Amino acid sequence: MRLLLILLGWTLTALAGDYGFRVERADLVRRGDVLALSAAIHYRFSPTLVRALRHGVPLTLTVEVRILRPRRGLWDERLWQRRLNFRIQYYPLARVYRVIDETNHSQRSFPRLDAALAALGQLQEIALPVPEGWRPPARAYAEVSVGLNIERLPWALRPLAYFSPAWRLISESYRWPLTG
Amino acid sequence: MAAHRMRFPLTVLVSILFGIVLIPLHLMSSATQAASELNRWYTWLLLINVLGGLLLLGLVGANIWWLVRQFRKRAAGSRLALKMVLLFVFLALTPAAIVFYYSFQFLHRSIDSWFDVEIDRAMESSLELSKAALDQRMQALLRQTRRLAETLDKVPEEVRIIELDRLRERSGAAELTLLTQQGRIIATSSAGSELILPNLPDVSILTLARRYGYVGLDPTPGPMVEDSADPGLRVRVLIPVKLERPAFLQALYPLPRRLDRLSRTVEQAYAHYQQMVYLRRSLKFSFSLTLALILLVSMLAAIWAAFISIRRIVAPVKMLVQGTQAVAQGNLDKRLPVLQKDDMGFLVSSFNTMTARLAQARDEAERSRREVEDQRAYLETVLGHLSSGVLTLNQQTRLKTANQAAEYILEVDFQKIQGRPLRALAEQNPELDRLVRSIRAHLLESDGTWQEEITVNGRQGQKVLLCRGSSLLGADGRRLGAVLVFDDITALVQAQKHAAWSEMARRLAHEIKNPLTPIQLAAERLEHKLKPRVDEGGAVVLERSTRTIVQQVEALKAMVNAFSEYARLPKLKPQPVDLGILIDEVLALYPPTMGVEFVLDVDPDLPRAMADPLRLRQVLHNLIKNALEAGAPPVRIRIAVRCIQTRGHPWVELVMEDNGPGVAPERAEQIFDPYVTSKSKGTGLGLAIVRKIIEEHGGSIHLDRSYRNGARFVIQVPLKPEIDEQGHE
Repeated sequence: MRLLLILLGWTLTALAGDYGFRVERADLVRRGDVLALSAAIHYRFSPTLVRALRHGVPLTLTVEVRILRPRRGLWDERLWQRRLNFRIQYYPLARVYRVIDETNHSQRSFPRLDAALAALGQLQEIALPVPEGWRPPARAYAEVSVGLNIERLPWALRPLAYFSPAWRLISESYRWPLTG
Repeated sequence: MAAHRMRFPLTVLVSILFGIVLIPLHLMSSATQAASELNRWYTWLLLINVLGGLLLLGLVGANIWWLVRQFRKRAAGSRLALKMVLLFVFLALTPAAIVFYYSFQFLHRSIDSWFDVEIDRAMESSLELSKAALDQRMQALLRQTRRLAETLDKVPEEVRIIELDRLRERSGAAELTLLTQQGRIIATSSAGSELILPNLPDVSILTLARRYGYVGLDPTPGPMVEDSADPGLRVRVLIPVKLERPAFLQALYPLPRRLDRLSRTVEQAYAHYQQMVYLRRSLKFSFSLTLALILLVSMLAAIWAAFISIRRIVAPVKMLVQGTQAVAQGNLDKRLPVLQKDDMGFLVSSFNTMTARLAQARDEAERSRREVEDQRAYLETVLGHLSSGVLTLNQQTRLKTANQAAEYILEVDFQKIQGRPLRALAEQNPELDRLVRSIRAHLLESDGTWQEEITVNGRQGQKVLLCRGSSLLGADGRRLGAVLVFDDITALVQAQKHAAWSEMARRLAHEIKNPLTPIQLAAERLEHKLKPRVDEGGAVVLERSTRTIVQQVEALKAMVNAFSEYARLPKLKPQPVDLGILIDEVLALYPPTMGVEFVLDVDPDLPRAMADPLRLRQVLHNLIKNALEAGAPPVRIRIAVRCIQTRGHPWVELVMEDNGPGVAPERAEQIFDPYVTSKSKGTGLGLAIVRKIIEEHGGSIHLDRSYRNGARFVIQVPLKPEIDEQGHE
């Protein structure tokens, strides 16, 4: 089902234009009691998103990190999951894009959108807590995906956004086996 | 009459239903307000309401399908339900559609009214004004920072940090930082002690500042988000400095409080307005969607509630229709449950009372009908077993009823003429013409009782009918018709005749036979005494005369003996008789030399009959003798014997035909009377004796007048069961 939705979303996105999100690289490294996430994500906003952003509509990008274990005949078992929300907003008077990492409550400003998106795409050593002593089992794998969080849009936009390829921007999941 | 369990009150049910429907609708409506906490749940509320709408749509669809099926099956109450549903939907939809249309229009116009060219221009101007004011301020800060950079260029590296603090304090900057060209920190000085890390610029800013420096506003006062504090705008200035190697001096200046507040107000207002401009179409769509969904769900809930209400309202009507259909089909025991205490409940209760009374009346009518049927069956049984024929006429003198005896006596099939006028009797049986005319005359003459003896011709000869008539009067004295009673008294009349003849024969034998012997003796003595005294001629005359006297006396004696025999036939001695054998034995006495030829046709399955064989031989002898005497040789006689069923009983029918001259029609009725003969010789008692013997056997004999080739006698004798020596049948 999930795969079907992804395929559908990917198809609609592909048909709609040359934009979308793509996780190019990701890695989880254990640092004590936390897992440190590093990832390179390529963001390419659709003109609709750029126009909305320039009109002051804040956009939230949600990065989902999951550790799963395959199961025969069923969908994979989800062992651990974290969501990282990054909000981007344009300030017309300062003419800058403000990017806020809601997980770590950090923020930065960028005079250009591409700079902001490039900064957003570089996740370095983001600490994600795991239960004490928890270790992923054998055959577990991790996956990272990113998408525009439609539920964070103004309420009036949501019904349309759910049915518009220009708004429904979801990357394919980047998967890799967990070793060590 | 006990009322059934009352159902959940309809109004409460409908109120609960609307409450369930209205709560998510209200929440969804509240979520459309920007400041509402429910804003974040808008999608879920929208989804819940859509699902609720689909659920209601399914329920309404199921109800419509139910109604259509009921209507196609022409179920009781379905038409009323359909009309009520259509009426309700029309009455509900029409104002709702009108309200929706104008609300839709109003909504779109209201949203459009938020935006105006003048407001656009004002917003743009205010933003430009703010930019201009800030630009002026930023240019001044740029120049000031250049001077700080020039000052810092001259400061030795060892005291650069101290100088940095001094310059920050002197310039009023919130933060001064020396950065490498790659953005790494060389030295920093901050006004606040809480900030550990300086607010670093992005690489793109470093690139921009590399040649002429950079100045710009920054909404992020620090690397960390401070939720509670009002962040305010900062002016970020980057100036390239040479030092030992190329670097940047970054200065962050806070804006004056008033300017900062005004600028941010303008920026927020502008951003909000731009956001609204962008959301204009979306707002219209979402508000319309919300409005349409609220209307749709409300309407579907109302229609569903209408279906529930209508089904409840129609249920008693449906029951009443089914009840009346059951009553129409004769089921008066039908009772309907009283489900409501309203007018419909009263109507159902009244229906139950009505059917109970109808059932009571039906039972009474059934009892009366059974009594009438019993009476009728009794009368039919009595009439059916009466020997008298009973015929009833209605007010228009049409034939109404007749019993079996009437059909037998009048020799008509009543079923063919029932309901027809009285003259139909004569049409079916022309012999009854005189009877019909006589009856009509009596009916016209009086309403009272009348009686007449009427002779009619039947297939078996003349019948003497004693006919009595009487008017049938209703309870109010009105004439309803007439009843006619017939009695076939032919046998009685015949018996009276036989008795008279027998008496006459007995007297004749007694009065005549006694003087005959003295007359004969006297004549013989006279001849004996006188014969010697008279001459030859006289002797011849005397002898002739005395011989004549003796012969005539002998003839008279024979005649008297015959009469005596007729008057005193011996008592019957019935015994099982095989008629075939008996007939063969009789016919054997008449050889062909006697000028007679017999044709015999006897049913081989003919059972034996209880009869007196001697008397039956006499019957056959008399009939054969009658045929021989009446016809000229050669006489051909055909005898047929068979078994027939008459009035439900077995009979033996013997038919004897000859080829003689037959019987003249005017004499046909008298040939069985004594001393009636057309022959030159004989006593005329042969056929009378035959009839007497047959009647003593319980049978009948008649002359078939339809036979034209001679005489045909038809004898019918009841076939009584054999009785053995112990008297068992």
